[in-house]
Amino acid sequence: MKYRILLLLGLAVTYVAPIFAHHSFAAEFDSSKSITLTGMVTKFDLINPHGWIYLEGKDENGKEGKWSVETGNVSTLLRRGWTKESLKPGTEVIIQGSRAKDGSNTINAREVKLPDGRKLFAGSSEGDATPK
Amino acid sequence: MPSFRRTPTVAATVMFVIGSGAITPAVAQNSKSSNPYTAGRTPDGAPDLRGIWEVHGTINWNIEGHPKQDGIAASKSVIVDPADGKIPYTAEARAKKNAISLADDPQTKCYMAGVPRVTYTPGPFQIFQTDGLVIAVYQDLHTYRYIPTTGKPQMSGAEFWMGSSRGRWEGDTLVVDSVSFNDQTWFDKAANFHSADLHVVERYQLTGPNTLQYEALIEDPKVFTRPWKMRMIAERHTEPGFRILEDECLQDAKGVLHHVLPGK
Amino acid sequence: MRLRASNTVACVFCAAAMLLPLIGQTPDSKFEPPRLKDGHPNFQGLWKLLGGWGPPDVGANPSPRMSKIEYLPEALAKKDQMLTSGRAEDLVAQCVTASVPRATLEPPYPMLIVQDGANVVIMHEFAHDVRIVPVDGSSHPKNFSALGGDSRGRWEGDTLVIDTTDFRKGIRWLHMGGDFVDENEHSVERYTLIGPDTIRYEVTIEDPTVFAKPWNAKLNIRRQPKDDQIIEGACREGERDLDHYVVDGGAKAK
Repeated sequence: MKYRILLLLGLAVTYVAPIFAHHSFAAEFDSSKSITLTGMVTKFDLINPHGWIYLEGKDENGKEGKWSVETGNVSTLLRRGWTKESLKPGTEVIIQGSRAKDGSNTINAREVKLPDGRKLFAGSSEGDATPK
Repeated sequence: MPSFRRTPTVAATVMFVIGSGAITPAVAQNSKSSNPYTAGRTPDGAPDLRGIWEVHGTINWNIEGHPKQDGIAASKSVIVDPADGKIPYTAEARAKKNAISLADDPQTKCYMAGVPRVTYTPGPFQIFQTDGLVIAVYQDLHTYRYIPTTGKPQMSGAEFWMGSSRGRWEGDTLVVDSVSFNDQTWFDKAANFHSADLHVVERYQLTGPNTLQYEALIEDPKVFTRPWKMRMIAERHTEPGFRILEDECLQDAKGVLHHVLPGK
Repeated sequence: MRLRASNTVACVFCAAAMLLPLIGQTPDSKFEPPRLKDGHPNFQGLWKLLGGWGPPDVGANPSPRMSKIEYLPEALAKKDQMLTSGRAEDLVAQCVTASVPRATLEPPYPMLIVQDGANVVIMHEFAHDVRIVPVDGSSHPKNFSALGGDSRGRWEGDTLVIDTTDFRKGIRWLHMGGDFVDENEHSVERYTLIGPDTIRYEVTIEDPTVFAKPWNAKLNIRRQPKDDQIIEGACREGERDLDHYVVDGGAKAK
């Protein structure tokens, strides 16, 4: 039992790695302005330096519109099990993330929930890197 | 997967036999020359294509050939199949090509050249070889290609500018099979294009100590009526101290992009 | 009971094995690395910095992995100005290059090392940065400057030492926290295999027009699983964020 706990602790410690982006999260997004988007994917670009999910839907206040959702890069997403087929057009998703500072419908995603309940960690920048 | 861990004696015997013309190796069927040159061997026993190479000329302006223009020297078509040197577009694709604006050339935005364009984009490239791996580093925008020769499966989960490449040896020829491209690159400045279904098979073979013959077989059923092939020669750089230099693309004060090599 | 005691011992060892890579390890002179045919250590393979590297706060206690960065007063003012309104000038934000040593330190994406006896080639995923480092005894050239500087490698026993200087005029960010270097940067990196899957990486940076004294970082770089491979990092081609950057600390939209 102790063995398992320490093993899990060890895994937990090694797994919590800071997330870096090529650019500053803070220059573009506000981590204090959370958003929950519910909508339908129209396009998914699995590219660098960030993937982009384009969807039509509404935020938690019911505001409808077209949204651009930023994810982590190709390297990060592929290694987390995403592929270019993960979000086909027409897929209904629920996305948790942060709003853009410039007021546009641009979001930095933390997590993408698929219709079958699976959650994909979006692996994008999580605020400016902090000292570890 | 052929292994190249031959003993020196076996290697010497093989080279002698091939060199004497006693047997016709598989490489001959793809070579224009009647006496295929036998490459040396790397420490790991693979054919040695290492070095710094460059395809000279102005192929990058139009692979189907072009007259002298704006101070750029003329160039003949590098397409050897079909024999007329023209890209076999479908009618629909040819109409699409004619409608593309030449100003949209992705290379003018300092995007990576794609395959095979990176080979004949002006500038040298360096081939490195280590056990089970070939690396090509191109001076253009410090582009590199990872080409394992171990039979590892291709990457297929995304679309890449330089595709996913896997190499194998056929005699002294390095055969590189590439898939998983996006549809964003061109073959030249003349808007010759492809879809994301592009499949390229390249063949690299020494035809002399300082000449590397390069062939690229292009397949893309969404765009072309049949596969087609180009061929050209890359020459080895033998100048003492020659090396691949840093090539960065930077914006000037007006926002215009320029390639910048090392300065003083 | 004996079984429980041995479980405890096993726990301690397993925890240590998990956590040890995160703790700064010093080179173990007892580790005999695999060698190339020329006798030098074989660093080849796919590697990744362990745990990432975050920006230290100026004046804060140095982390175990990084000594304190002390700026000259003019340089400190420059740093504040860059953080406020110069983010779009960061060459990493522009997808140009991460330069030396940032390409290794941050962002910590995998790097591929290939050696051919005359060169050590280090390939990075981010912006497909490449460093072809001669280890042939050659010296830095005269009258030369580049964004990535000029790197020359040499062996000190089983440690690969890479000396980089001759950087191009201008500022390069070290990470998103705003620490930076300029053309007077001189970087000395030391790579030592301390285990079959671990490189001890130490870098010392001096820059007499930016820092009051040299600083250093010491971290471990871990080998990636064998079925992994380096993945293309075509950054410029897909960049869509710079248009949304808000400058001047958020006071106004761009």
